[in-house]
Amino acid sequence: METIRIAHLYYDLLNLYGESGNVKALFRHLEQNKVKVIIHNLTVEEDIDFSKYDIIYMGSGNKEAIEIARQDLLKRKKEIKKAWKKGTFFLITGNALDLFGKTYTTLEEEQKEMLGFLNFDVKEIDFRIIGETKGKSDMLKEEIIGFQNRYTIMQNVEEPCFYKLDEKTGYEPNVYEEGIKKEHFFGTYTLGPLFIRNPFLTEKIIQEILESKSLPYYGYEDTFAIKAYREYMKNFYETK
Amino acid sequence: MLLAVQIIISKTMTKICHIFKKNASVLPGYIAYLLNNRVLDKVKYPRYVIVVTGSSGKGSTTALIAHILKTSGYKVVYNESGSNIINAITTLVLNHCNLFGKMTCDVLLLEADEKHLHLFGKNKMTHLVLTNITRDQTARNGSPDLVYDSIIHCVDDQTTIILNADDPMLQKTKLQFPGKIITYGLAKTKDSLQSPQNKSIDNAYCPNCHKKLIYHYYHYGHLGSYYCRNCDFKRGKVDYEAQKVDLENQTMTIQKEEIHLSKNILYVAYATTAAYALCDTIHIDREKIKEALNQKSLSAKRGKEYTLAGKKVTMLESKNENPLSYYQSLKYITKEPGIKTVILGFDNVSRRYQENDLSWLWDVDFELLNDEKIDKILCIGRFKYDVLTRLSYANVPKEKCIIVENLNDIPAITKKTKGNIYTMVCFDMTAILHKIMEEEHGNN
Repeated sequence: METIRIAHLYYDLLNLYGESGNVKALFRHLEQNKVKVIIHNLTVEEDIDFSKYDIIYMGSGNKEAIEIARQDLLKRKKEIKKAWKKGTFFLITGNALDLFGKTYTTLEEEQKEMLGFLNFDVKEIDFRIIGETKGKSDMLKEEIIGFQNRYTIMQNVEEPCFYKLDEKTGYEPNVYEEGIKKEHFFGTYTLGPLFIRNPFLTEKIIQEILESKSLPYYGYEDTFAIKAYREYMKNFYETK
Repeated sequence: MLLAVQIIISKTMTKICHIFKKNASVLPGYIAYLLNNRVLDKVKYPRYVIVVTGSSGKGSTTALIAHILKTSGYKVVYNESGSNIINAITTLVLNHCNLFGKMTCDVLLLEADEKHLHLFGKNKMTHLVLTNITRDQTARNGSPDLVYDSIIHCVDDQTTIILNADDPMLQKTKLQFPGKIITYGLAKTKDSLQSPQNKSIDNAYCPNCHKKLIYHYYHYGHLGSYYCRNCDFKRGKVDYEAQKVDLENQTMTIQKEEIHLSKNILYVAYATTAAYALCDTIHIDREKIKEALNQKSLSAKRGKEYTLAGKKVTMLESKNENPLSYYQSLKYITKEPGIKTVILGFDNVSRRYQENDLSWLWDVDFELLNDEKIDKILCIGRFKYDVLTRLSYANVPKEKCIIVENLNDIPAITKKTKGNIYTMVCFDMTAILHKIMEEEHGNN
C-alpha cells in the first residue's frame, strides 16, 4: 500500500478556525482511495525534514501567530523551497497564504520579508474583511463555499487565482479573484474547514495528488458532507 | 437637567414596554443614549462598580457575586437577565438613579459584553473580574488577542483587576497593567489533563517572548498551570486557589474553607472561585461568603429542566462559536449517569449577525459524544447535515444519529429514544423547543 505523508505545519499556532477539520478530510479522502496516510503535527523550532512529506498543510492564525510562523519559516526557506521544487503539494487556507508572498507591509508601514515563493505583496489594513464566500474555480464545476475573516489584502498579484467570487472581497476591495492556484500550490483566504465543506473540491485536489504519484483514483463517498453542501446551497442561495 | 430628563424617559419607557409586554431592557437605554452618548459619564455611582467580563462564565460569575452580596445585606443592582450590551446597561443604570443622577444602591454589578466595555467608559469601574479569553464569535470579535486588547484598553489604574491566572492570555495583564491585580485559579484536580483535550488551543505561546508554553497540567482548553522555559512568565502562585475540587461530590476548598459547587462541572468551580475572590477583596465577611455559596438552593444560570415525551429534559444553553462553552456542556452530558438522548443544532450561527461561519464546529470536541451511554443524537436546524458530518468525523456511529427534518416530529422521535434528554442548541432552537414542550404539556 502506498503511503502519503501530511505535515500539518504550525498546528498549534495556525489553527484559529477549526483547521484540524481539513486534515481530517484529507485523511478520510485519501484513506478511501486505498492509501496509507501518515500525519505529523509540526511546529516552530522542531527538526523538520520537508523532503519526506507529500502534502504540507497550513491554516489561519492571529497577527502574533503569523509573525512567529514567519520567523520560523524564513529560517527554513531553503528546505521548503526544495520541497516546493520537488512537487510537494502546499494546501493553504486562511491568512497563512500571506506567508508565501514577497513582502508584508504593516499598518505602521514597516515592510517585512516573506517567503517570496509567489508573486504578490501583502498589506495590513485597519478593518476586517468578514463574510461568507461563494465562487467558481477553473478546477471543478461545483462552486466553492466558505468564509473569510481577515485583516490583510493582496496586491501586485501575478499568479492565477484559486477561485473567482460572486460577491464580497477577493484580493482586495472591488476585486473578485481570490487565492492562488499554481501547479502544486492551492492557497485561499477562505478559512476553516474548506475541505470538509467542499467535498467536490477536496476530491479534485486528491485526484491531482494521486495522479502526481501515479496512483489510481477510486472515488470518494461522504454522503453527509455532500448533503451538507447541497443543503447550504439550497438554503442560502437557491431560495433567494 | 438633561440627565434628569433621560432618567425620566428611561423609567417611563420601561413602564410602557412592560404594559405592552415588550422587552424593556434595551429600548429605554437606546433612547437615552441617542440624546447623549455620554449619559453614563454623568451618573453618580455607588461605592462599588463591579464589572464581570470574558468569553464565557461571566453570567454564572455575576449571579454568584450578586447572591453573596445580597445575602450579606448589600443593595445590589445588576443585569440579572444577562442583557449585557451598552443600551441594556444604560437602561439598568438610569432606572436605578434618583432625579439627581445618583444611583440608589450599594453596588452596581454588571455582566458586560467584552466588546462593549469601551462604551461604558473609563473611571467608573472599581473592580473588573476577568473570567477567560478564548476563541468566541470570531466573525464579530476576530481573534482572542483582539478581545483582550479591547478589554484592557478600557481599564484605568484605579480599577482592581481580579483575573483568572489559569489563562495565560489574562495573566499577561501582569506584564503591562500598573494597577492592583488579584489572581484566582484552580489547583490540579483528579480530572486534570497532561495534554490538551485537542490540539487547537488558544494562547499556546508565551505572550512575553513567544516561546511555546510548558504546562504542568490542563483543566480544559488553555486553562491550567503553565510556565515559559525561556523567560519568567508563568501562572505561579495565585491569591485565591480552589483546591480539592471534587466534582462528584460538588465540593472544593478556598482558603481552607469547604465550599459547595452548584453544579458538577468545572466552569462552576471557576465562577465560584472568582466570586469568592471578588467578595473577599471588598472585605465581605468570609463566613458570610461561605454561607451564601453553601446554600443548597443555589443553582447555576444554565441548565433549566423541562420534560418531553415523559422524559426529563436538561437544556444546556451552549454558545455557538465558543468551543470551550460547548466542551463544558459535552463534559456535563457525558458525566451524567444513565443512558441519554442528545439534541443538537441551530438555524443561525449568531443572533447578532447574519454570517454563518461554521469553523467552530471543528474546534468543539464532539468526540466526547462517541459514548456508549448515548442512545441517540437528534440533529436539528438548517445546519443539521453539517452537524451530522462533524459527528461522523467524531466517529459517532451513524445509526445513533437521527436527522430531524420536521421539528414537530421531536416528541414522537424522543418517545422511542432512551434515557433523559439533553439539548445543546442555541438561542433560536431553544425558543422552538420550549414551544414544542409547552404544546405537548397543553395537549396532555
